[in-house]
Amino acid sequence: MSDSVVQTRGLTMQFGGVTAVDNVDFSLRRNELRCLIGPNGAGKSTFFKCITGMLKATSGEVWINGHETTTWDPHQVARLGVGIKTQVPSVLDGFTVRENVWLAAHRVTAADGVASRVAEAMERLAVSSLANSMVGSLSHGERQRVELSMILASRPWLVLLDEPAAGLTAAEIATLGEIVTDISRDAAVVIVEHDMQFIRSIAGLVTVFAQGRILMEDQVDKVMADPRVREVYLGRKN
Amino acid sequence: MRGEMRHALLVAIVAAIVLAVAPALIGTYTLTLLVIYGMLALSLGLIWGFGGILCFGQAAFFGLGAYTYAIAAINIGESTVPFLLGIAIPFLFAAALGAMMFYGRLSDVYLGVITLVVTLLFFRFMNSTAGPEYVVGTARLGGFNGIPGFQTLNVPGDPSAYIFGDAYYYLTAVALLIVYLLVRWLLASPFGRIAMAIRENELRVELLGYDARARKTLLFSIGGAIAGLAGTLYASWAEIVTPGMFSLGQSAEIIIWCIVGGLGTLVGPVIGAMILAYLKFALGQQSVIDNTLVLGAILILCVLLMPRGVVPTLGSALRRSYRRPQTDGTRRRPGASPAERAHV
Ligand SMILES: Nc1ncnc2c1ncn2[C@@H]1O[C@H](COP(=O)(O)OP(=O)(O)OP(=O)(O)O)[C@@H](O)[C@H]1O
Ligand SMILES: [Mg+2]
Repeated sequence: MSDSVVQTRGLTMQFGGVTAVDNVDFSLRRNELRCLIGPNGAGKSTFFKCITGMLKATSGEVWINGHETTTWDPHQVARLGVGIKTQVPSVLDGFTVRENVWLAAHRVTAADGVASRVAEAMERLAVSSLANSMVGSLSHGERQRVELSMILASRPWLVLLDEPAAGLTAAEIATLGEIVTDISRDAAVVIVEHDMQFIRSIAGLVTVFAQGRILMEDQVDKVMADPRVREVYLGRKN
Repeated sequence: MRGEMRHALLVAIVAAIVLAVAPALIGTYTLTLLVIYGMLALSLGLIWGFGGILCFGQAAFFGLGAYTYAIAAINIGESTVPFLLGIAIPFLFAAALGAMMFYGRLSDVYLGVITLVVTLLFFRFMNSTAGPEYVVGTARLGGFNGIPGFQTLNVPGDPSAYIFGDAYYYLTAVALLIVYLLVRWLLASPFGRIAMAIRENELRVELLGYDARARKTLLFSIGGAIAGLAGTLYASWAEIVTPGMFSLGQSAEIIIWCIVGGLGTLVGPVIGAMILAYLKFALGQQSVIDNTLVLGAILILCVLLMPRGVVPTLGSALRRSYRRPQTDGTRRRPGASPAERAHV
């Protein structure tokens, strides 16, 4: 393997007659921060799910840190040290914030270190004051932060985030930018995102998806100026 | 965790007192059966209420425990090994069945159907074993008539020292209390926490790196072992095991006990089982009204009036009247049932 920590080769995912991901070769370097963009239905989430093991690719290969993970289940992928946030926020509504974060910390921490790990992760996402609240009673933005806090508590070296900014207020998005930059200091990060403002704020390399394929890969300003990108986004302004 | 165990201990002490004075009101022979049914309900209450696994075939493990005990007791004589086998075999059977279902990623509906079918298969098979060719060692399976005449529970090591009557009642009562405390401890442990998290959001837990299938299989097996223990105790009490233990009616009753008593608690299913089984017994003494009709009416009333079950409903009513309004700023999701944190 090269020095890439995530690599796909000819990755293809078909649903019946629909080819959602079409022969994608993708590569991510260690500690890289990468954005995936593309119009609705471009196949970003499907690509993401193939990497995390939530979907098994129709053909092609997925490699993570030297392991071929193409047929692995999500818990096996996670156990490599991968933190995953799905497009639909996924938290435990009937549990408190602390219990949610505990769940993440418990798997990777010896018993005596769990409490401090949990406290630290809640602190970094500013949810400490909500520690004893039921997650189901929180606002959308707070729940997103709880989920990110869970990901932090599991100390991943690779973080995959599917639309973390969706449904957040402008102020929350600004904070999210700082959090992502913070996370990317000690982890490689892949973010699927629609919000161009947000993508600009975190910079990094951008991969553009369209109709299941990679259209181009470049710095954010080059991507935004590219006529092909403008074309696929035509009719919907971001 | 420590607070929860203190709470569980308190519940166990109250239950111990109730079980100790109960013989003043109801004969120990009947009480023993109520305790055994309580344990059977607890086994389903654990996997359904805390693991989210609705098993329509809890009776299969109950019957399997009883048959294992009876067959082993005929072959071995002394009851200690048969007793242990009566727990171990249902555990292993549940592990195999659970692994098949959970690793096959069956949906909840199919899970219900498969467990039901397995129970019916046992029922049909055991009913068809009347012929002399159906023997295990020296034990004849006996078809519809079941297996009578096996060694009942004895003091370990002394086959002539039978445990029966009042002593047998106290033994089953203590067994129920121990199982209750062990299960409470299990639920308070990380394993229990994660099991409840899987019930709530399996994908999230998997994405955190936990193997939900293995954990559900283990929880299901523990439920099978407890149901097997109940069956083993039943065999010694009834002194006969019959295919009826695997019947649809038996399976349905366990589910009804849990619904009426209250899911998400352990005490609920136990109390539900004891009350309904006693009612059935009392109604069976008369012939004015059909007892299935009465039990059906109770189920419907409970589902309509107390959808969470008797114990959680009474529990929150008590909490409302005894506790001052919460002042710790804890916010709760409207409608979110705190029943699973009732620790009873
Ligand atoms: N489970 C599925 N079954 C059938 N088709 C699916 C399934 N999941 C996705 N698709 C299809 O695959 C294509 C890509 O969907 P995907 O969700 O990956 O897009 P996306 O880029 O994430 O879009 P969005 O920006 O809206 O999240 C779409 O045409 C979608 O309808
Ligand atoms: Mg998507």
